[in-house]
Amino acid sequence: MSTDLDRRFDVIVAGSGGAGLTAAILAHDNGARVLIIERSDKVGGTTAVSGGGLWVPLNHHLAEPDSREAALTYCKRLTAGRADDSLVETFVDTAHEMARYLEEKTPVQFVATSMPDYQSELPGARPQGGRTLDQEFYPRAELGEWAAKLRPSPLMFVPLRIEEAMKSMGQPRGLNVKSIVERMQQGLMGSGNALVGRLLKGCLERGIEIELKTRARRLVREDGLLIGVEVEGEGGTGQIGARAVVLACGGFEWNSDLWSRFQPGTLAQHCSPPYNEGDALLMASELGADLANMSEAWLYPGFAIPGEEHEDRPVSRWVIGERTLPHSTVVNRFGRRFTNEGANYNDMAKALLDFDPTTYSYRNLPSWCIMDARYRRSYPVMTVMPRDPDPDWLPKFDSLEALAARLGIDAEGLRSTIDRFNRLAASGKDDDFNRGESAYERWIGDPNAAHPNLGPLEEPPFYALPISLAAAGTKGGPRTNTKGQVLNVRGGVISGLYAAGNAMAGVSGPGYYGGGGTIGLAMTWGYICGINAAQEAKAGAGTHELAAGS
Amino acid sequence: MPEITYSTTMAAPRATVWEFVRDINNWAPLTRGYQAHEIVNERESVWTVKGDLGPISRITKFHVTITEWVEGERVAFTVNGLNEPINGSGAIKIADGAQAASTAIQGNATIEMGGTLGPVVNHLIVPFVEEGADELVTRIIIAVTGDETVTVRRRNPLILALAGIWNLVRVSVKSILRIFFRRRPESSP
Repeated sequence: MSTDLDRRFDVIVAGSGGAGLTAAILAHDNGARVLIIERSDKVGGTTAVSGGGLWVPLNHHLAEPDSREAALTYCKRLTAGRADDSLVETFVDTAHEMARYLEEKTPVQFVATSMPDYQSELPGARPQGGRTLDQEFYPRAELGEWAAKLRPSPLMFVPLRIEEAMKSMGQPRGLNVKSIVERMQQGLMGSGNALVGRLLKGCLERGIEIELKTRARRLVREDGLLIGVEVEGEGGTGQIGARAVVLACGGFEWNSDLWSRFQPGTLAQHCSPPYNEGDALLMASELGADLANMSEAWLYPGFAIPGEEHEDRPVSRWVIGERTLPHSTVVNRFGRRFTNEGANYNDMAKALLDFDPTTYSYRNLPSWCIMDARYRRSYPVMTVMPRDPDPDWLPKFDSLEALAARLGIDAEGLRSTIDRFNRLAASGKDDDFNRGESAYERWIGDPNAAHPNLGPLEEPPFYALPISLAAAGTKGGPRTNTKGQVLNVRGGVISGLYAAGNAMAGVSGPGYYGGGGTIGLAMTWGYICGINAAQEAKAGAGTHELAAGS
Repeated sequence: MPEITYSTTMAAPRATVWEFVRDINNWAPLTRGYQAHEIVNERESVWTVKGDLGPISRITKFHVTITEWVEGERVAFTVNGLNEPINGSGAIKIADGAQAASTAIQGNATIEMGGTLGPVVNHLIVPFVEEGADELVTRIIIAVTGDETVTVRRRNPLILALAGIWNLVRVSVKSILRIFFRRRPESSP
């Protein structure tokens, strides 16, 4: 690998997830010569392993009109003052523009959904749904030789629409298996792979260069100007020249050192690629970037089926239906319920981090999802469908007492909790935690049950699924302004440096707006960064050439 | 439903091949994703295999039962998943090859995931089952003959027939070469 700046681009994008690919497309379309560098041997980042949805307020697929004011009210409430209002406003004003642009100018093709916003009862939310966009299936063959370089998803590898996947939990008999098999036979991809596949195709059509196995290690500056990136690849280290750099190489959830410094609790599981080790955070910090939102992450309650692996690492599955559908609840070691089990995964997982000052430990870690026989014969548990035999990783017990004794749960506490829960479930109203009262929960729930989300746990055997703290990504990083430019600790702009996606300080603060809230934000900031990086590269061309000694 | 059919020739006498194949302990560890096996009795065994399901892998336990055993000729078996709703059956038939000291092997197996999502999973496990079969047959041939250059691949019936002819030619050429190289030292001064 060369050790000088003999290769020069206008814009280098570090990372190839939704944010990075969108940034590259927009930088290209605004006149820049672009290079994407990706640390791993696969394209797609965290987006590729995701459900592939985008949360886009005011999007053009909405059947009923959205309002800017409502979207802002909702987003600001969830952001909770942890990001500048100007950033939230920029997101709301730009996300729909990004979605329309990509649909018009690239192979990206969105599909409307009816998924309600995650906090569907808060002011400004849309309980009727529509802000979450799904991705149309995409034929793998369209990518040619690049198909093999697309990051596979350990969770979403069957072509399913978001609505199919979510609704199949409460209505498993409604899943059209024949049609899924037909899609597989046709070589169609869904979810994050379809989204990344379409964005990647957009990059390939534009002739944007993509270098895999090339890790951005350091930002190179000369006379105060960013002039390139020091990279590490198979052939060693080298430097590539650029007038602007977009950091879109993910968060730091796989860096246990950084996690322990900034995040609460011990992270037991991940579902993102293991390359998210804080590369962007470290590079930006070296240049004096200001940091924000560092203690926030896209959390979820996770469970790993013993022995199930992807690339020799455990696969962490999302526990959603098991805690949202009737005849189940979640308890801690005291046998107590502690939150609305049916809340969206990010907010429900935050309840796992309730710190007990007396025992100096997290009160709700570990926790267990407890289900009874009626649950088991009605709904899926992880990947196991109702009529399938019980898997050996799902312990079952003849009584709640036996369950408590085996798992080390306070038996008296559990009995009293279940007795009360059963009374509440029978009445159809959870007075303790309001489970099942939001449009979001009911959307996932069983519409044919007496209550879509509540049902007593009475019928043995009882099943217990342990729940761990898991993260799909972190949300902290360098602060940016409304142009995506990274800010230094004095509030000034670090010339030439941009950040997007999980690499930047999250605009949603602790919140999760709705399905696709991660990627909607990431691609909107990719869009903004791409445009502005290209413009800065063009505007600063002369200065940079001089600084680089050309 | 994933289905495999095999037909190949090994450059080893039938008795040698049978001697190897008749003892599960010899070839069970050659199975793709092999973790462990346990002989329950003469006819039954329990296998633990790490199998691929699309991009993920899972540990699956099978109960294998020998349903037919014709000494030196044929073995038929059934497979039942212990922790997954998977079932299958198959048979292996061996006979003297067309060439001296060679053995013709024919095998077939079907495996099917049950349960609601069975059709989806069956689609996902096809590559593992097919490539796993290639790998197992190749490894058995290597173990029996010591010929490490062998690579076996399943083919459609036409290519399978051509492959069978090619294997015969290969075995013949090897036999001739063996004779040739064995005689050379005798002719040297």
